Amino acid sequence: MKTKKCQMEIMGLMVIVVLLVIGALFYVKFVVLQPKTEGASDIIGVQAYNLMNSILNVKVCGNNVSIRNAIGVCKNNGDLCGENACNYIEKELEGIIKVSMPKDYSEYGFIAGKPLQNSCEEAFLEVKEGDCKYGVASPRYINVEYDYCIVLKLCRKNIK
Amino acid sequence: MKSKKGQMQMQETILVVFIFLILMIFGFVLFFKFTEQGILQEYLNNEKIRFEAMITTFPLLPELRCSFLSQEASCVDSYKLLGFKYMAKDNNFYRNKLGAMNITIYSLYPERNSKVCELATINDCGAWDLYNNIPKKYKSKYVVRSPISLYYPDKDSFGVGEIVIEWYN
Repeated sequence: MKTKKCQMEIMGLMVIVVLLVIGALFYVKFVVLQPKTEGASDIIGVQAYNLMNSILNVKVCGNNVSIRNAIGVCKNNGDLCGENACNYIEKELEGIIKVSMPKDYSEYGFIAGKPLQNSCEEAFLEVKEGDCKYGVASPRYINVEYDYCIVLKLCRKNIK
Repeated sequence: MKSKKGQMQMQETILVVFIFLILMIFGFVLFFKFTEQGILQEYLNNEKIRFEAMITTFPLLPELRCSFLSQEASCVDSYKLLGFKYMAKDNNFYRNKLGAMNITIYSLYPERNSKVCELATINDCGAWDLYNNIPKKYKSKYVVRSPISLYYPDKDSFGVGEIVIEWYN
């Protein structure tokens, strides 16, 4: 009789332990293993692309030529506003990016090159501020008319 | 003696069932609380994604987007911004669609100008407060900002601006 009572008590304990384990599993499933969404780099990518697009729309040289076209002239070693197009664009880009950089960013890299497979290679125009090694790059912009591509990379103030 | 033992066993059974029930109720309460929290968190995450996507989707609204000979371009028309500002004011359509938000565009290039754009100051301004619906009470506030291409039809020129979207919940 005594053995049966002991068995019953052990069973009761087992039930309690099983319930506690199930509770702990639920806790782990819903609290600890909650997926953490990291959307920050997506936003930086969008910001970089928007900035690049805004810069390309800007007209320079007496509001006559857009930077989009001016980069094409630079690629073909042409002149713009009485000087070498690449030198002219470089100065203009520095000025525009400096005042348009989103808050929290201090370094950038604006690279125009040849559109090869998945990257922009053989850069013919490179405007940089700082090292900006580990920033977020915008998606590539490819200009079919002049056959060039552009990538703008942004780096946060504390991340290099 | 036997009946006392039986009573004891009955009491023990009742106690075990009682504890079991309490544990089960506790488990259910916890489960539903976590489920509710999970659903709420998912809703907030979705809302946050929708809100963050607004830096891309909002400037594409036909009410703001610039177009040249009916061909839409990737910029916002500064004249349309002013039109939108007056249209969205106390407009239930936009209030239902956008909710508790504050949307402002600032001009950064060719010049920073903090003057708020109105009909009277349209030629000398650089801040468009497009939509303003800030609730009196809110738990949290999220802010996203992004550069934006601004088109000035009067000068046929482009500038660089910044769109700032604040979301309250």
